[in-house]
Amino acid sequence: MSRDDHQPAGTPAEREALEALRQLPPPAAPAALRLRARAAFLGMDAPRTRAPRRAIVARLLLAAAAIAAVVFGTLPAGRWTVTDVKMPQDARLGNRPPAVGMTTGATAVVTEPSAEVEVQLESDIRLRVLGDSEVRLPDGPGRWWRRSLALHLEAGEVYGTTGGERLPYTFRLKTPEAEAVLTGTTFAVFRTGDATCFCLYAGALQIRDRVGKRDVDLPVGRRVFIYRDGREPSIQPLDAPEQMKLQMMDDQGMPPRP
Amino acid sequence: MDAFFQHYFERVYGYVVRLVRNPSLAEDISQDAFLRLSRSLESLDPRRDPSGWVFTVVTNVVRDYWRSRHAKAAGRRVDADRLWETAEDPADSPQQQLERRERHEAIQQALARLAPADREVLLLRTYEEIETAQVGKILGLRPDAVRQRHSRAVRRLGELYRDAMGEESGR
Repeated sequence: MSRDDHQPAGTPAEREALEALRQLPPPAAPAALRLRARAAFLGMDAPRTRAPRRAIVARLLLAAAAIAAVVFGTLPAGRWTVTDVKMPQDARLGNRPPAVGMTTGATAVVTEPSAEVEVQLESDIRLRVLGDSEVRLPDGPGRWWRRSLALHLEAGEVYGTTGGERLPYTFRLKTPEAEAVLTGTTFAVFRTGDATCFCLYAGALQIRDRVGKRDVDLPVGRRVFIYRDGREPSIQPLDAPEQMKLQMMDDQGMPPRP
Repeated sequence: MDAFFQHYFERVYGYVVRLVRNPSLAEDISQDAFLRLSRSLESLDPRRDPSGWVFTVVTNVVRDYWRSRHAKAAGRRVDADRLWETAEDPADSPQQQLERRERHEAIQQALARLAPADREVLLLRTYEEIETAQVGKILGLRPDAVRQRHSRAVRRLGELYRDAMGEESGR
């Protein structure tokens, strides 16, 4: 026996209690139980008081409920709604021309130079895809799970705002050379021949240079170029047209969806 | 195998009924426990004391029932005083018999009011006298954790026993 088996209890009450416990007589098992348990142990036929199938059915139901919860919790709780379109015949939402009021889940938005498409995800985020752009929109967030979304900018320019509110889930802007997390923001992002540029009008962006593997602090009212070749990012003031478009975006906030 | 059954049956039933405090549930659990034991008896090493393995299987069956809706519907609590009767020793004087009954009822009340985890460790360490390391394997705990849990359970048992004895004595 190990050393701790001989350690005495502390107080007199504890020692008395342990002694009383040791002196407890064993409870008398019913004779019928003895017969049933013995038969079960020795492999004889014996009547069971409970059907074992119940436990299996219960486990199957629990597994089904868990799967249903995962599926339900992962289903998108919101969709993108088209709130404005300029030259819809020169744009595509998936494989269709966009129209105000149209809704969609994850899809590609492609615009010719003359077109612009504005979409809104519930009351959370509003995006305006400018001309000559290609953007992949994510599905809306799940109810309980799948709470991290990412918009992929392949080409062109996107302006956006969360209306000054922090999102209840994570929303990333991604390009091959950079990514940024919105934290309650009015912003723009565009790609040039050799860089991604993030513009910050209000709020904050957590920016990551994916090639140079560095985090970038961007002050409000500035923009930063993250280069494809990994050189040091370049922070500059917003130019006048950007400032104006971002101010309009921020002023409009999150209008009611059509 | 019959000898194995006869040796462990009373111990298993006693452990289960004290743990779940429901004789009807304890019967079901004990019967299921012996069914499970019979299925895995072949894997038992005959050179080793099987107590640890027996109580591991039984403890797992108890926990499965606690998690089941059936156990919740049947209810876990019964009148602890009715779980078993105090054995009378004919050599005892009436005063000694009275004191013995008071102690037994007090300890039963105290046990009933403990948390199930505390009851588990006390029944295995103190009543069944299973070593700490083995109790750890049964409950899935490190030996240090078993010692801590046992100390806490003893402390709590002492307090409850003292209170129950105060009630029994009518103080």
